[in-house]
Amino acid sequence: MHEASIAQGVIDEICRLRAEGVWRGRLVRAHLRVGKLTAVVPDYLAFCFGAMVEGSELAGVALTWEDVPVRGRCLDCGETSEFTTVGFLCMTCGSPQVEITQGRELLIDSLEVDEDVP
Amino acid sequence: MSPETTRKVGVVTNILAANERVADENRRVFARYGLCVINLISSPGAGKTTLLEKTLPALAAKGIRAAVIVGDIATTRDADRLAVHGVPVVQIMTEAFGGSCHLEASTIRMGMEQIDLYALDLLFVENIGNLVCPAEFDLGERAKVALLSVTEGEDKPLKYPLAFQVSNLVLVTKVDLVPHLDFDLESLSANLQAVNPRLARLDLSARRGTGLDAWLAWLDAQIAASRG
Repeated sequence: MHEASIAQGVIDEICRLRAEGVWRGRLVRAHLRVGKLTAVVPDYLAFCFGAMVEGSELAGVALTWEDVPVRGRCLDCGETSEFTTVGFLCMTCGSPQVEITQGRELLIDSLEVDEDVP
Repeated sequence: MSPETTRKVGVVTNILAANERVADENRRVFARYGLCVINLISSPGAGKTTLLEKTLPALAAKGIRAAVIVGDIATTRDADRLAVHGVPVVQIMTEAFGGSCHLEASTIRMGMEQIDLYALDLLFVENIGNLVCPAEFDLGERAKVALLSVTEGEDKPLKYPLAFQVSNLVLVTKVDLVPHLDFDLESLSANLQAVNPRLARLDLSARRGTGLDAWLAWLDAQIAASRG
């Protein structure tokens, strides 16, 4: 599994955002948005993240996430469907011509920081 | 610590941004050389190396200059099999007991540095055998090609939807074995359609040579488009 690579991506982005002055102080929490159509298991990702930041200045940072459901827009009837299982047929007209519009997100949504700590 | 002292900073940044930056750089390099790059993704044993063993001589006969970047977590067996065809083969990431599960844009970048890109029309990336992880990582390639061998079962598109969602072409391999299996080609069609109706598909048997002409024609079109 590649969750360690993704966890490294989270760490890299957190550090880049700090270098760019987006946040300062002590990071308490990083909140992610993880699409259901990504090949990522958030629990594994959190485990990898915790292990990788141990002993660093990011030790103890909470990694939380929300799932982003899979949605697609039908190219035939224009309606949007939300999919909970694989098989992306339009739920309005049954067409297979569905363009996935949501569910591939792999984002850091927000950071919770304590700015009183230098 | 009391929650009042903390502040929420909205960032909305892509976790794979670092990989995608390198993938974009790779794409620019490939465009500069007019080089067509094809990323082959499949389960272990679907026939990526065998397909290349049949494809490379056919390309050479047509005057197409190809090279291969092979990702393998252990052994140089695939690279050794391909090297006899006289094309540049770069093996990246060899770990005695297995390492990573996918190739990233930065590993492709290291591989690229070992090849004379000017002398090439087509670069294959033989990804690590795995239908999950490689699907998530953009390498800067022109197209992803998923291989699905008939011995794996027709349900694989449903089990590994992302690989078939992000691919531009699926090659159904080892079709010479269909008469010996319970494999249901119609059910495979329905499963592929359910996951990605726009996915192009070619059926082939590298061993028998069935479908290779259509595959070579598909590659020709990709090469022509890459030249711009």
